[in-house]
Amino acid sequence: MNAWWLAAIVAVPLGLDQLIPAPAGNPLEAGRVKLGRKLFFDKRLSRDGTVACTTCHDPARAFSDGAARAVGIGAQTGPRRSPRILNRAYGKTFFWDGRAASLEEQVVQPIANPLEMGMRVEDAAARVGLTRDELTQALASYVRTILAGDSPYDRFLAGDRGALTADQQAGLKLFRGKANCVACHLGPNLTDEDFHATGPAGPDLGRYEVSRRPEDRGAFKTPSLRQVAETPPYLHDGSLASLEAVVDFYDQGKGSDPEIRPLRLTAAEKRQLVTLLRAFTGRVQEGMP
Amino acid sequence: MLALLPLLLWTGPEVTLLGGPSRDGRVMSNVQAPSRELVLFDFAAKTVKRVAPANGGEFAYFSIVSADGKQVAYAWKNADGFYELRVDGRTVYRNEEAGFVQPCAWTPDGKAVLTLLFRKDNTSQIAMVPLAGGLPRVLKSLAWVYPKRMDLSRDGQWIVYDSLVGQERKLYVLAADGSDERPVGEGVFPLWREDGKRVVYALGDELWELTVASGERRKLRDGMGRFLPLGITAGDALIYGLRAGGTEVYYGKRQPASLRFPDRNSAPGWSADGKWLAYVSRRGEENFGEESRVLVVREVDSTVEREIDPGLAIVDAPVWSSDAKRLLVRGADRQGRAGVFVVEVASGKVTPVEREAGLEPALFRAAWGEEDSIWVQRGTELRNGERLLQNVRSFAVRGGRLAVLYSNGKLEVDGQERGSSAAKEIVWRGDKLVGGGAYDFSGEREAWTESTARNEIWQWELPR
Ligand code: HEC
Ligand code: HEC
Repeated sequence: MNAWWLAAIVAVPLGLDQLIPAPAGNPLEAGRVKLGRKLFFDKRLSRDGTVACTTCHDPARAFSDGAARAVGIGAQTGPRRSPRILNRAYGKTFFWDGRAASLEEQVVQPIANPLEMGMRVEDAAARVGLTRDELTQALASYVRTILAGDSPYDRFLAGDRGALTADQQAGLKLFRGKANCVACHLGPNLTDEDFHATGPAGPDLGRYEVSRRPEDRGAFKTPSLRQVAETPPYLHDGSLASLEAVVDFYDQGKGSDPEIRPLRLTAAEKRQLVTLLRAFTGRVQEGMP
Repeated sequence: MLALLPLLLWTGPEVTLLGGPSRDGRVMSNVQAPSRELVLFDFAAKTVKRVAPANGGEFAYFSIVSADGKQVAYAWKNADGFYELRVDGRTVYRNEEAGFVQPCAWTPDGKAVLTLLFRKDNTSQIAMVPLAGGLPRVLKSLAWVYPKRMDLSRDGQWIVYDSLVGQERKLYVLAADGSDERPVGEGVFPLWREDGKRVVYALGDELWELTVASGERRKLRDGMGRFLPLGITAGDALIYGLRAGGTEVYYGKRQPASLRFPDRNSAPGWSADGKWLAYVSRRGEENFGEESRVLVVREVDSTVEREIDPGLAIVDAPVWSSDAKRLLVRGADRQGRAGVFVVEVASGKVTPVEREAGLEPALFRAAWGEEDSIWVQRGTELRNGERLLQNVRSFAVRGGRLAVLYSNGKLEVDGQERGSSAAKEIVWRGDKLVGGGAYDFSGEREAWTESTARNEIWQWELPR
């Protein structure tokens, strides 16, 4: 079984599950991962040959891009920020609003998106000598191998009490207690893979566009917090410039989600939470070793 | 064909079902009640062999016997107040961040134990813990829900476990190297049969069997009551626990409180005017666990009885507000966060007062204070096993929002510090936190829980 073979040679970073979920129709297989990696860096997948997946998901920036809004072909700016695409193999839905149910469904959408790569998926596939299915399966397989773990936080959880500083340990206590972050940011990937309105609703209605449920107005998918310190600005619209600003935002507690409320954090507590968020930065690995 | 009758192997007040049988079916590990000492029952000789005596605040919990019947792996509550994994007195895994462990099966070579690790952030993990030291191999993490049981096939290749999906328990077969997983339908408490092809499991009070490859299912027995599959012997006999008897709430001259659901009730609390009794009642055919508890409020001078399902994972110890409109309970929400909650009697609406991941509900004490403020004490279990007063907080409910009044020696109103207040203002009565400020003990009424519950261990030859 190929999947078995892959699990045997992809050393999953500390903190993540050994089981890397993949659909029965597209099990992880070395050839597809290698092909997917090539495609991920290939600008020919965009209409004018200027944009690759890596333009917005840069391996040197934790697979995000450092911009508040994604910039695609012809320097067009899209409505949302490019998320870090880390540990997405463990994801349940994709995009900030969860409109894609699988990576296979997701990976072709940026190609077709006129603001991003602007090309018919079949044409893009033909340009690189593949069928649409081959392209889809290879890209999805490669994305599944982009894994982040082995952070001080993971080492602390694995039992190394010295892996976090005293301030970070105090931050972890807050994260799980008074600051209630763990209500949504939990598990190996620090996300519940669910949708929440964490702040005042803006022009982007988020999950509501998909579900049409009133409570989903302004709700977005909880992002993993892995490598978060490496990729300001934050939130779906890049509206918060720093981790300090994110903690202030939660302290105000203006979102309509039942888990959000004013936290009344002291200045010291805010600082401890920020130092903890920095401890989520570890090692990112991708592709086959 | 004649189905063989089940055979009662063992019973007694000391039986807890926190154990499993050996492959040859001759012995079974058990954590004794109330001492929490780990022992081995020898079914034929009717003897009890001591394995690990409890020691002050230290004691054994879940336990399983190795394939050769020579070793016992068990969870051990250590002197630092969390659970570690031990084998015959030796610590094999100890990590405060996975502060609860449940060993479920030995690998065939006896070198590792398939174990559930419960992390402080409310996730549980299916892991292989090597006995020679080194980090566990975490195969799969589950948020909020945890398997009730998992088992390893005899060849050590496949794990079967159950997990909560929506409101249903579903079974999964997971490769022991983490390379593959598939869902195989509804069920709880799965165990592999000897042939490694079939899984037996519980559905309510029925015992079922699934042939994994074909997906074929058949019912093996029904009407089994509250039973818990514990293990399958080399001879393909199922050893299972059975919870017999029950608990009932009584008041006055030993009148039972329940009108409709006897023998499944506990934790009574009187309203201030003595008209209402609230208690906790179990529903459904749940085998073990606390998922289906509801609150019942009973007007004692009439036959008026109302049921409130607060939608909490655990609910316990209801206390009435002075106006009898709200109940203060301790418990845990569906995300496993333990704490204290207010339940509106009329609507069933639940407001969390204080809650935190990774704690046991029993660590919380709560009471109503003056002007319907709420006092919460969060205890910490310390080295000597004593519960110490920590983090006393008081809350006031104002306009639907909770305001902190008092926290660790500081008196606050709506977040503004207002001088200080000493812990002596908190009123205790025996072990019970009674509230803040003055409290009137007069006119307290009696209500209590009586239990006839006992655990039995049975054996049943599985049909071929
Ligand atoms: C122009 C910038 C841009 C390009 C090029 C781009 N993406 Fe993205 N990517 C985004 C943005 C923005 C989002 C979030 C969009 C949304 O939620 O509506 C996103 C979301 C994703 C997600 C979902 C992550 C999650 O957690 O839900 C994946 C996976 C992904 N992109 C993969 C790819 C792949 C594969 C390619 C190349 C075929 C690609 N992206 C090209 C900007 C880009
Ligand atoms: C109710 C669920 C919920 C709670 C509670 C919560 N978060 Fe979030 N978090 C989210 C969601 C959803 C987003 C994305 C929101 C958006 O993009 O508009 C997010 C985004 C973030 C981000 C930005 C990540 C990025 O890539 O943009 C950080 C950092 C963060 N949260 C940290 C925290 C901290 C620290 C706490 C506790 C103080 C916390 N969260 C509590 C759901 C939650």
